[in-house]
Amino acid sequence: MNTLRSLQTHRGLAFMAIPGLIVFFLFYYVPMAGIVVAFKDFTVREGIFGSQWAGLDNFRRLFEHEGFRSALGNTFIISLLRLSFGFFAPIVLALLLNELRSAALRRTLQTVTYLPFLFSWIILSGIFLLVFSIEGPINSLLLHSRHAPISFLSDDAWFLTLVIATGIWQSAGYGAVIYLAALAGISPELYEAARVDGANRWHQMRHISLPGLSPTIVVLLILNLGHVLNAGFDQIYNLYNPHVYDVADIIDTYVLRRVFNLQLGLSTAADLLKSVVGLIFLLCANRLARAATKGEHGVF
Amino acid sequence: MLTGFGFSKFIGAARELVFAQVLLPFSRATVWIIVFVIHQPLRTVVFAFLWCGLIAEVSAQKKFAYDPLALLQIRDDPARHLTLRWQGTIRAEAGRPGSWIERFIENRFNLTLEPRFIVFFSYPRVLPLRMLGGDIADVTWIMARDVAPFSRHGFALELPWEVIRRHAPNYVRLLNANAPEMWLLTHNEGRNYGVPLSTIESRFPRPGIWRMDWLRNVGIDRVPATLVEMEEALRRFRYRDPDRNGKIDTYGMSTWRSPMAPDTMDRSFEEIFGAHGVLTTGWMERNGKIVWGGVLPEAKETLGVLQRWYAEGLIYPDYAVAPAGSIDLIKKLTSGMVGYLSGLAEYFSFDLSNNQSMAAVVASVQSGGEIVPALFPRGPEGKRGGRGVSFGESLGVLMFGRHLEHEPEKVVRVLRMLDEFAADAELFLTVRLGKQGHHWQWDEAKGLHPLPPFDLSNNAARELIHRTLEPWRTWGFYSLFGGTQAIADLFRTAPHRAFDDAYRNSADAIYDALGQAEAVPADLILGDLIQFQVTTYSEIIGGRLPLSHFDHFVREWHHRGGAQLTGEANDLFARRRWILDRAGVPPPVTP
Repeated sequence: MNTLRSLQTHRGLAFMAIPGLIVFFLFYYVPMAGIVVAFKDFTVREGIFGSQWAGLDNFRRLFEHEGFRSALGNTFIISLLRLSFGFFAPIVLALLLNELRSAALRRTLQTVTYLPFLFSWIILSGIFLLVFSIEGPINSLLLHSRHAPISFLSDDAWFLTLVIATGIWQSAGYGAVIYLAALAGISPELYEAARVDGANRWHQMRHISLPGLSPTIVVLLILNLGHVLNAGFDQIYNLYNPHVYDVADIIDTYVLRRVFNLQLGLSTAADLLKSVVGLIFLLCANRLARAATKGEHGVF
Repeated sequence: MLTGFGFSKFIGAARELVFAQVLLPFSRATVWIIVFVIHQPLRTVVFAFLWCGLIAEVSAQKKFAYDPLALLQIRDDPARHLTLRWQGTIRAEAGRPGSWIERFIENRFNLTLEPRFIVFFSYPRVLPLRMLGGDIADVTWIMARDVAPFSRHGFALELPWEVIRRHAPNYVRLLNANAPEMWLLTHNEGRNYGVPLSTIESRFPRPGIWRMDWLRNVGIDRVPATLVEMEEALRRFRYRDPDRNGKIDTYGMSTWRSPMAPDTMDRSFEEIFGAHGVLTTGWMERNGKIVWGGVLPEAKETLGVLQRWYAEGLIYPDYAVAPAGSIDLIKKLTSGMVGYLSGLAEYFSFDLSNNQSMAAVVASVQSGGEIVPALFPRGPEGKRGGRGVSFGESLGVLMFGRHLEHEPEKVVRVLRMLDEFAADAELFLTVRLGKQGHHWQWDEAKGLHPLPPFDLSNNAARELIHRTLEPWRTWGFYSLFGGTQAIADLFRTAPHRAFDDAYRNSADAIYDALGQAEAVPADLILGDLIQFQVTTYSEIIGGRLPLSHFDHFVREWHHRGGAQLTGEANDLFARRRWILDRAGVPPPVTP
């Protein structure tokens, strides 16, 4: 009843939510029925309901399959690398931007760092493939300094470095916006009080800005952990090559190949597994955050 | 001011939006489980949806028993007008509906054609998704490797051998005489799906290309004929400044990757492997058994050579990175990065009268630049050769959509078309090249040549006119198959014939014992094993793994499904005669 009444009161807002709800329903709820494919020996000929039940066969086949095991491992490795290096980059960037005195400079820098986020990986990968290729500008510089050329794109370690670094470069500016917003929400009085007490800028950053950011950091960390099996499909798919498959083949690229091979049961199973692992991580992280902050922070 | 009230509110709203954007897609399954566990009304909705789907599907499945052999009884009625949705070969993406050839075929066979085009490079990605979406044309050109999945999912119509023999006898005769093993490609679990399409070109191997000016600049005056000579030439390319610019900035060679299968690298270093008598992505016959070429000791031997070459810098370091496709590779040669390229030589590459040919481009980029066709280098035991694609591999399979079980007359009409193309050379040339005197002309001096404005490739492509008979360049969109050797010979000029005899001799070809690796329907395993092989090979070549790792690779290869696959390949090999009998291929005459 309460819900109905509140809908009544906010019917304008509720009305505006309808298109969003329709999209949500069509693209998130309706396809869920397809999850059943993960438990079937699915062929289009027999349809979702006509296909034989396969129990957990698809999952068993997945885990027996070396390609999937290595994709799973690679996904974890890339995600963890991304998280350990990439997660803090926007925080640092936001803190640094926040310390700039000149508003004009700050705005310019913010725009410049934000800009790469607007480009698709299709374009960016084209640029990186050129820049880091053997005859690209980086290797020309190395050659000039009498250094042997480096195959950035075909060496496993260099490739991962490149993936992580370009990933940070592309998204740090975007991530910083969220932190900047949180920083903007901190009351200026706190800073004024600190200055009166003789705190320098470093102290202010350490004792006011960072604690002020911590709820945002926690929330974003939880959400990021929910994505732990999303290792950045757009980027990797456009950058990788057979040389680095053994480190760069991730679950998404694996699933994609399975879909093109029309192995729909297997690909659904792999994707479902990914979602379930994401859910587990998300719930654990949420619980941890709540426990650590005595129920103060957490998404739900 | 960033901290101003309005802006910070805006940022706050943006933050909410971001959260929604990040939260929303975090997991379909998560929401599903939450819904299932806690939210009663939504659960009802989901179940209602599921049931609606079930009912809809069941009612849509009208029971219809398709008897493929009934096609034997259907007679083509030429007076009956039919409409065909025609998904022709790839590499025709520049084509436009309403071309001259289209109208010609429509008139001749009483049809309305609705051509559909697919972009060459997107075929492996787009076609399966289209099929999944239920968008299946009446006639679809597919690659052999898709026969198994498309038939398993019910996209392809079963087409018994007897039906093809009944309705397209001339074509079957042609195929059986030249490439009987192609019937293995359309076979899946005891049934036949679609018609294998034959080509005339790809069965001949393609050697590499040398920069002759570079060879001379480093003191070599003839094309290397053995692996030893080749290695020496590549070494001089690397260290003796073949382009005379005063810098050591050139490499010996790079290699070809098939753009249709960039991940398999099945033709990379083919002549080096060929010099050791091995085909790395294919089935080979050894003592009456079928074995996978990539795990043979000869492959290890070759990898040892390549590892040494790579370490010395003779091989272009990023050979596997460049986007697959000949244009990019050719640039490596024309821009003076490398002095040798594998697997790209054909007669037209050296045609200086065409300013787009590779020879002309090299000459225009560097004065004195000259390319020559390579010889397949002889290995230590005197072997040599390159992948000879067996007759028809690259031309794929003609698939009929399964919905044609309700419209069998369309199947019969298309089979009749195919048969007439095979029987009537003049008709074949018309549907492939257009109208003689209008689109093309032939004379002894110039051979087959397009007439203006169709000498410009764009104009020809728009009209779906093929400027040559070489199917690799433009696969027949309406002509279906590649023609006959007799037709091809008619149109090769004397120098062209001489070139092919000298450099592209089928004696140098190494064939897959089963026609093509994918003849064994191994949906999951084969692709992954090939990928495993490519990765291991490139790690060994690049020196990141020792050569001794190859033995471990072979064990692991068998363990990961290779043993099972080899068993299936041998089963298919044993079944070969059964399939060929169905297709009417006469047994070999034993003396």
